[in-house]
Amino acid sequence: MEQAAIAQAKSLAAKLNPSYKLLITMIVLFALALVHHPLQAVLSVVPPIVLMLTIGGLSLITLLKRLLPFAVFFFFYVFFQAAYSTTNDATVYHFLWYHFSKTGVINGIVLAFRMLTSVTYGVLFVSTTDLTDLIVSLCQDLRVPPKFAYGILAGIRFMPMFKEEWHKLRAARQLRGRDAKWSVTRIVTYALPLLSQAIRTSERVAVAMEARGFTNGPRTYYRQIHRGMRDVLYGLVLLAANLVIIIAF
Amino acid sequence: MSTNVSPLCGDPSIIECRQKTVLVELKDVSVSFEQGSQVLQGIDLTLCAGESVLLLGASGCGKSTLSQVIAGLLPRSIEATVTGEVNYAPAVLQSGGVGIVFQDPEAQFCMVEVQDEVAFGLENLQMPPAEMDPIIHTSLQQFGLQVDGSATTTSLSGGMKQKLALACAFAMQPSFYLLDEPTANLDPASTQLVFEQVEELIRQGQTVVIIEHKFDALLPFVERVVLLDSTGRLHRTGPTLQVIAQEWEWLLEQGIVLPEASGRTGGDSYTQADTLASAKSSAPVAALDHGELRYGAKLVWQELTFTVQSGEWIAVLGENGAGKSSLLHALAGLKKLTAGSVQLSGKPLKKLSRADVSKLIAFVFQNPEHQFIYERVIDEISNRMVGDRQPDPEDLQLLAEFGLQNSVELSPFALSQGQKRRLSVACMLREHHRLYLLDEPTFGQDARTQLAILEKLQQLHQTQAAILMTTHDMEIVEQYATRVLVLGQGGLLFDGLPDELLRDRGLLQAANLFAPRLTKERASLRRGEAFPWSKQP
Repeated sequence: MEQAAIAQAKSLAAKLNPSYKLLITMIVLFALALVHHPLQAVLSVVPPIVLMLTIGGLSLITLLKRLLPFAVFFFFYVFFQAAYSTTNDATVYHFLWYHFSKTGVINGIVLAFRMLTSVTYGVLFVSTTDLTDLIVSLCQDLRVPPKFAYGILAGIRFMPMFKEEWHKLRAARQLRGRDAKWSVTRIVTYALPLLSQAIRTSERVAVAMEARGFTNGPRTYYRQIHRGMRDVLYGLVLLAANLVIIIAF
Repeated sequence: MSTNVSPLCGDPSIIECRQKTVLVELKDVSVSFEQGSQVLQGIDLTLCAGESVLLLGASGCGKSTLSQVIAGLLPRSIEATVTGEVNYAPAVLQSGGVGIVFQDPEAQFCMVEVQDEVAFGLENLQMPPAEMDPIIHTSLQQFGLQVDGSATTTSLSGGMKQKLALACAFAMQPSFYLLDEPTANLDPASTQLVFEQVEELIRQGQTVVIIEHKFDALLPFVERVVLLDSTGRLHRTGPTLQVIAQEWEWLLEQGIVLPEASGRTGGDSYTQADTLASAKSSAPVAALDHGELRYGAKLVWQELTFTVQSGEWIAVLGENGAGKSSLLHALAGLKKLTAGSVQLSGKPLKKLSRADVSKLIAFVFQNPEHQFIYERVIDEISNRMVGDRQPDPEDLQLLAEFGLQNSVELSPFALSQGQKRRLSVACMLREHHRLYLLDEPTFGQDARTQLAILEKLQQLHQTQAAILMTTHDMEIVEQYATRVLVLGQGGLLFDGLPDELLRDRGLLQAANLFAPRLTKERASLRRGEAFPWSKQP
């Protein structure tokens, strides 16, 4: 896992400008909303997979590990679309009490592959983008106000701590014989203390950030995020590939 | 207001200050918070460039608040009502003008990686990126942080986080440093390192304001001391050694320093033989058999085997990261062992229900905040929502014993660091347990709070309860513990009597522990030997 992470960090895709990568990914995903033919849908998942295996630096095994859970989910999605969608055309195939329809199968495949494509692009983006790089790039390239961008960063940083807080709270309640009886009610019992703890922590962090001179004003950036021809090339290739899929098939 | 105190006149440091730049000037400053509590009253104080100031006061007297006013954080970043006049030199109010190290090591960072964290301040100063690398490098070096710049801040231990906070402040070259209990969470070796850094900063002529409960080691090189009394008024300010020597009685009365030979009043009657005798009569309170703990591939400790008998007061020592807290958590069943087993009162931990464990064991967490599960002090101590009903008089009594009678309606999180700790201990003393597990119970506490907690523990000790506590404080070990466990190098380095440990120089060094040598300095200070100008009683 660690080695995989290093390979990804060194990969070509990781050197792309995060903001542009994000923009291109979003444009492609919007364009893929036009896909309505099963062949198009199946083909549209090919470019991101190829990218992952080449410039993304992911091994086939890592790739499968990350996508398999989604693939299983989408298989069931196709199955239910086919078996239960109400369509006008005749049933083509009977199995037990299921009546599979052709339209259902086609709709299912189109939608499932569209989702799989989005997820694949998502995995490609997340596994080749450093969080700090993204935040800095958002400020530098897309002129997002630092207060907003760094706020997001601080928030994401605290995500794993949330899990830790949950464990601490649970330990505290258990030791005082005050744990919720059912795990379902635990969410309700813990919600308020977790929220107030989050607010307290964020207040402290905000004070610490202000104390170190953080404002919404101009600032320099230690990390230099580059943009150049390879970003343009990346965008053009990806758009071209998808246009071919949409128009030619 | 403070008529008998004239901090400005006749104070040599002020006369000296006239030739220097005044950084911060407070005139008749009072601070109150929304909850209606008055924290500071009529404070007159001047901070000059190049001086070093130690802020002393009882727990909850408003030291942190005063430091926040001095740093210009209050009321700018923290909401409060401030009356009186506060003047800052322009340099102080510039971004990064004050380098602050906060109490809570968790909540002062905002970046993912160490190098970005140091760079964050420099970015705010709009420094060209090309100049940053050498500064980041020197800053990390200065405080002995031998980590890769791309290490994540969350992977650092508490002590290393404080060093990083110092490095971040240092990088910005602020007009003065403000250290709010910077060593509260550090082991003795790291504490010494931080103090060495503080001394170095002072020697270089930097302005330093520091709040510190374990201030003994600072006394030789901090020029000026500011004493706050428990009502938030300025008691006295002046040259450190002179004022400490002359105000010793006042410091005792305020609970800022401890009378000599405070502990071990009944402790001596407990010998190993007594403990062994009681051991034979009943099953051990707790037993760990070939315990092993790993985080992923990383070994914390292995082959830990020991038993805890009732009536024992065991101190668990070791470096930061030696797995002291984890050991306590494992005994309480909060952490699963990778191998080995735990027995409580002769029964395997696995067979005990949560409720049984909570009856047998009381647990005081390292960070008191982790223990609070209610939003009011009275609810916390009663362990239920009291609402508008009349609280239990016994609970109120317990709060009063810990000096919390005026904070009944407050949120536990709004208390001062010392008050939080006292509340967390008080909650655990409400019902009787057989085993008390305390994780750094005296962490970041002033002398009075520390004494109050230790006295309570001593009472428990006399009722034959077993106490197992982690600590960095060798004085406590020497005075109170009946047995010591030293963790390190992935196992148990020592299990025996405190005196034996204190004689074993090699082991003390190997485990990064120091014999309590500061007590003697303090004692000589108290007698006034070191200071010919102090009045002899």
